[in-house]
Amino acid sequence: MKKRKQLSLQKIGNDQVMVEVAGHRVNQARVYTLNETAAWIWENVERHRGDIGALAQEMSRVYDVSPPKAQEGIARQIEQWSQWGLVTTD
Amino acid sequence: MERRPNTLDTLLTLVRAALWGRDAEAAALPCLHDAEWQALFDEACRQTVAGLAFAGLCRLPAPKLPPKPLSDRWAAVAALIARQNRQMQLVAEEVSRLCGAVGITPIQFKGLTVAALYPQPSLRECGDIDLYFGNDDRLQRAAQAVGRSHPLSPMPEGGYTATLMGVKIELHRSMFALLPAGQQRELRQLEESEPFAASPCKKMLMPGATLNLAMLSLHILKHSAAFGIGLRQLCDLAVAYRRTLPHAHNAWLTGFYRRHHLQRWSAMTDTFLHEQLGVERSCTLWGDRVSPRPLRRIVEAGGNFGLRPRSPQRNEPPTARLATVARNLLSLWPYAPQNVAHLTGVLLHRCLR
Repeated sequence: MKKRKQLSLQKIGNDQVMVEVAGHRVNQARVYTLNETAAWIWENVERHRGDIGALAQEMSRVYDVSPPKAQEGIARQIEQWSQWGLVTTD
Repeated sequence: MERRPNTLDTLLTLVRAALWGRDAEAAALPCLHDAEWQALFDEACRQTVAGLAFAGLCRLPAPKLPPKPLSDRWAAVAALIARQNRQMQLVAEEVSRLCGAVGITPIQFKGLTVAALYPQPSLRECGDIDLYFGNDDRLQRAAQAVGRSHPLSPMPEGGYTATLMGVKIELHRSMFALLPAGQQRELRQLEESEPFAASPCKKMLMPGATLNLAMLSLHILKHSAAFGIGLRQLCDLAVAYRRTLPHAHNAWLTGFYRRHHLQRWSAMTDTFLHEQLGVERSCTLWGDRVSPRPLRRIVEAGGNFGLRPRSPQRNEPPTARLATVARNLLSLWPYAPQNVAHLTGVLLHRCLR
């Protein structure tokens, strides 16, 4: 699992924002707003060599969520990011 | 009637939060209306501190933030600035490679070398890459090296300009253009006696601390007395003061300013840095207060190099820019008479030509 280069999170208030700059114009940029758990997944998605089960275990220790539920949420989120081209799965 | 905060004051508060982490001051800002946020964003862009102001904005508590569409747009602008900075670094490395191949080490000034002094260098907007080579022979050899792969155009005061990967580079004959001859002579002597420092860009050099501080101040003066100056250049001087003044030859700087009747100018910029940008007095050169009002008026009216966009509705006559220059020259006369007289001569000569 690899994140697209040069995409970094920026905390604004309670949100985490990620900007994808395509061309040279602001209008061509896409801004993604992540909630706390999505931001956690983004920050940790490259760990455990793409092993979503291990990532879910870790997430269940940080947040009050069972490992299967965490795994389901992580998989759903990664699929969405993958569709948007924000991550590539090996 | 409720008194609303001045746009530039609010912008300065965000800038101080970004530069020095003055979060409490930013948190004490009143909640702004949507139109006030929009005006603040526009002003940050005009002053070319949109990236810096965004860093300040990110430190605000959630209830004080701008409306979501505007904060997204601001985030996009900041990301674009960061990307442009990465591009500039690549170009600087490419130029240093081209020059290195013919045995020349470029001296980089302003731009990326000052950006490196900021807490988040990538959020400082860079314009172009300014390079100097020490003498004409090295300039010509560097120009040949760059010109082999990139078309060069001559610049009015000598030197060349080129565009690499969408970034403008300027190969200068001198770092002290448009200054009176006596000042150029002394700065040149300083250039020869003060060792160059390592530039943040690999395989390049940059001016030593004393020369750099003098150049930044005189650069601000040159533009303030003509079409205007933006907040970014004053932020450059602020971070340079904070980070490099202890390494500079302060007696040389104060002596230079005194000899060339620039003491009031320097004391006024010091007061601006202290009162408007939050630099501690201990980090400035002069202890005495000289009202920064003339400089603030120029910043507010002009924006970055006086490029504040004109509204077609305002029906400004074509002479408006000339009037701005005349007003700026007159207002700075008491602070830097030698430089104002010299600039007036240069501008008149250009007009007549």
